[in-house]
Amino acid sequence: MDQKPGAGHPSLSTICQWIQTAGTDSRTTSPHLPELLKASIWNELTSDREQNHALSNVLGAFLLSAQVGSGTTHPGDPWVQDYLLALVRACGIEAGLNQVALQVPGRVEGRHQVWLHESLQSDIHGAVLIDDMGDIWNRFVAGALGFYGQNQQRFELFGGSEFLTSIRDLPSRLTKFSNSGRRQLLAADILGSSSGMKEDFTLFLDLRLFAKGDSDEAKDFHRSLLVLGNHLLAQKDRHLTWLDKTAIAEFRDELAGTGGHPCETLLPRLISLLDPTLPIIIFSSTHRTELIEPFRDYGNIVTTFQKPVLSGLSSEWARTVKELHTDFCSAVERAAGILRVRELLRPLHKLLAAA
Amino acid sequence: MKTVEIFIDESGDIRRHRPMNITGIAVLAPSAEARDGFHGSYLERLRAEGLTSGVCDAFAPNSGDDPGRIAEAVEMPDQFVVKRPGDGGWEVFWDTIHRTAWIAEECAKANRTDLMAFSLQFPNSTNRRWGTNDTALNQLLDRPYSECLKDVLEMLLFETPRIRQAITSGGGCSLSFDLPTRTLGALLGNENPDAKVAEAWTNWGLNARLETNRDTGQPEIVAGTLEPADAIEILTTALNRRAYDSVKVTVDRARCCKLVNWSQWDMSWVNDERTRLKRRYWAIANSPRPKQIHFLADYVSNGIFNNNIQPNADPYRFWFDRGFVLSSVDDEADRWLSAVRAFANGDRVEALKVVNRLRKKPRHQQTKTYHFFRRAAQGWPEALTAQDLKRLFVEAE
Repeated sequence: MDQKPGAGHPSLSTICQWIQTAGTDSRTTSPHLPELLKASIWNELTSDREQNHALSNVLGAFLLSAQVGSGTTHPGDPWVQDYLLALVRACGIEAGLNQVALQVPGRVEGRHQVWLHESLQSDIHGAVLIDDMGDIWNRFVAGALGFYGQNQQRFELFGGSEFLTSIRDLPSRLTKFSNSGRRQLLAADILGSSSGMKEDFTLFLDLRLFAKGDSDEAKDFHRSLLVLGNHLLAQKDRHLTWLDKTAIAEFRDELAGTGGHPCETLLPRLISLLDPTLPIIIFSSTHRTELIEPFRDYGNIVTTFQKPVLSGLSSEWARTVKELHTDFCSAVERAAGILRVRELLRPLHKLLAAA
Repeated sequence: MKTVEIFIDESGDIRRHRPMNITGIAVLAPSAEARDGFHGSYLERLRAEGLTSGVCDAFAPNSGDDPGRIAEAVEMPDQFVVKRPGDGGWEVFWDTIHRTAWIAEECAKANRTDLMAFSLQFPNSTNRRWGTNDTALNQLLDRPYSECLKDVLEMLLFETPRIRQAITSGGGCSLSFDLPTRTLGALLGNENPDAKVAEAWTNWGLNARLETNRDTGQPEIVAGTLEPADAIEILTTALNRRAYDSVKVTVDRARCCKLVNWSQWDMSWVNDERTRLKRRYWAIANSPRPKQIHFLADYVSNGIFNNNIQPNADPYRFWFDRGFVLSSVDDEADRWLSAVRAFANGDRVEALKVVNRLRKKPRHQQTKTYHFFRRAAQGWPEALTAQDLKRLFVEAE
């Protein structure tokens, strides 16, 4: 970066522009500069949990999308993610767009690298992603599962551009399902719109569904979930499989606002109680015990996979990708097992009396 | 108190190497009075129309008198249903049986009683454990049949909603069970016949005798494989298979009866009066006299076995709709039964694993057996515990 004394600080856009084109800049750059950048920018970005989470969510989506889909150059002006990726590189972080070769024989199709064996892909049937950043994570999830091209109808992104509206209505849709007499959720019950997928799908569910957990939307949403929880407890012929007597008492207290688990964990638990054979893969970057522990007794909630966090990117990227791949496959294998049981039980369910 | 009476008969021959059938009729009455009313009116109607089939308790009471004297006292009707008609008489014969069936249905209705029919086809080659490698003796032990009887009873008692409700309801239930006695013959090869008879008795308690096979002229060893007192053991075994099902029954009768048709009493070719009487005496000497409805069970069994009775034709349809027509030969009814038994006895995961294997068989979900047992398995998912589900998930990975 050629900055003359007294010329003032470069604007952020100038820095980003430079970072973007630094690879082709023939001028000499001090070797200390990346270290400086890393120390002052990267470490700052990763030091705060909230900030780390927010940036990880964006950056991780771009990096992992490249692992399963097209991550090469594109025509026209640079996209925001191009700047971010350049920043990562400029900070000396190894993570990049080059696909890491994985041990999934025969699954590289053009620029796509599907993360699953064909048999597992077949067993998983379909997937629904609920994530407030779904519009940037969908490429990774659909790509890793191989649900693109001819298989794209096997993947549904919850809400799309209307995420906030859709998520606000989700509790009432779940309540409607709980009154329907049916035992297994259809994808349409969750999506609020028709879907080619019926009961056989896996739900990828992020824990943080609102940019700010203490926003009014988040609080209203949580209140709606509490109402749904109490509704389930009041249903006489509903068997809450995962809860024994003690757990039911604790759940009742939690719904009454005394004690309980973090509010981010309530939606997965309610869906799990509503439909104990729907595989729910927690699709979150959180490693916090208090956010994972509440799912321990819920047999259809899978917590094996975690989105990457920025601090993890500083380690060897190829190894990180391979570990993510292993965890992802492990989570999907568990989901496939749950789906097999779901299919087996479907014709044996006794219809609940519709409310 | 409700009453359930079960009358069973079998068709087919283990020696012919083709599937056999166990078929029967159950009489479900709201009270002993209704039940007795049904039997009385059924016999009365049959008598009036010349449609009785053979010696039943009304013709020769189970009085304990000398059967020879009873036989002398039996007033044989002039007109009756023959056991099997001669050449060309089959159409008339089955018309007669259908008429008899309609009379049974009408009498049941008149007495607020329901008839139920059931039939299970099973392979005569069914491999049952604890037999012997000796072909002739193994045949006489009749294991496929006797084991299958327990399966049929278990299905009937626990998997047909009407009977299940009757035997588990709080008000209690009177249960009666009639089987036919059974005698089998097994051809002997080059073995020493006397030694074989001795071995049958010594090792298996079979009171066997040597006879000459009428068709082949070869020696064969013959023994009764179901004696009059054997029914209670079969019934008890079937009831004990569901220890947790809270059965509340009083067993009022469990016996094996010899079904002797009037046509089988035709001994005109025997000149000597005393011999004729002796043969009649022999025919019923060691057997309690059956109910007249038991003969209808025999005909229905034969009709189902030889496709002369369609279970979806009235009045049989009413009866089989309450019961079942299943097959262990093609449709795995025996494996389904093991699954529902496992579930009832608490091994829910094992039960579902069996069902999972069965449903993957081609076209299995189109079979009557699948639909019958699926009804029995309705509600299983709701009975699963968290541990059951977690185990299933892990084993399905």
